[in-house]
Amino acid sequence: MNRDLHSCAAQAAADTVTLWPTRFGALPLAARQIWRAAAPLPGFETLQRFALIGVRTERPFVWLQSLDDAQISFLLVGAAHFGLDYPQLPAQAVPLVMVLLPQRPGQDLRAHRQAPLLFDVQSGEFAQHIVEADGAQGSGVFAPQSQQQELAVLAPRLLQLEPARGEQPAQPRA
Amino acid sequence: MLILTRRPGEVIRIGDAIRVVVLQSAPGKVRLGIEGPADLRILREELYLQIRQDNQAAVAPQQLSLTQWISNSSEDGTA
Repeated sequence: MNRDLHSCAAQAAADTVTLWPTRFGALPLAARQIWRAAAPLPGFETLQRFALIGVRTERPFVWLQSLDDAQISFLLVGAAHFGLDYPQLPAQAVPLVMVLLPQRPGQDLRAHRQAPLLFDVQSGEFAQHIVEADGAQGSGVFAPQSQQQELAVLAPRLLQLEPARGEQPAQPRA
Repeated sequence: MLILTRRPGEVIRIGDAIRVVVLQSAPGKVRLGIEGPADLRILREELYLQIRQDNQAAVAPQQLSLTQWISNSSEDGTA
């Protein structure tokens, strides 16, 4: 009985929704949708809490939005979409990489290939792993795969938004 | 900065959990072995600085740029 009560209380806490300011406007996030950085991101040592945000029309990309600084977010995608593999990471891991958008016409999309991120859906924590140049194998050329395993794995803790319409910011899915 | 002189085979301890062993020294170069907890991040500083710079370069690209990139890629047939 106590276990049931604890379980119900934990479930209620995980479902509690709070409004957070983000680059996408104020977004309602359940406690289970708040990710914690297991170790600080180099260059962003003060940021600890994040949300993963997916917009339907932007798949397979997702945004890693800081909840400690609303102006900071990173664009991520499964490393497999860049043909990247990390033999040193656990075999069952589904790494994501930061994406650098082209700054000039004609440039390609680039991955931050030596610093994959691993998300642990069980614990709600993520970490950026840093590897030497030979620790990342593969082309590094963006070639989106039809299989989007990383999105399925992350789904329980991913906030899905509907695309923005005109001047309106993206909206949480009903 | 604490400065210590060590010979090959000698060790420096940092706290209780970290051992730095001087394995080999040669003119202009020293080889170190480092033992520590599995979650301790140990990196060459130049790699750490490169990752920090790349992280900062990856911050908050404008969402419009992604939308525009997806739109352009669709027209090109590349995405």
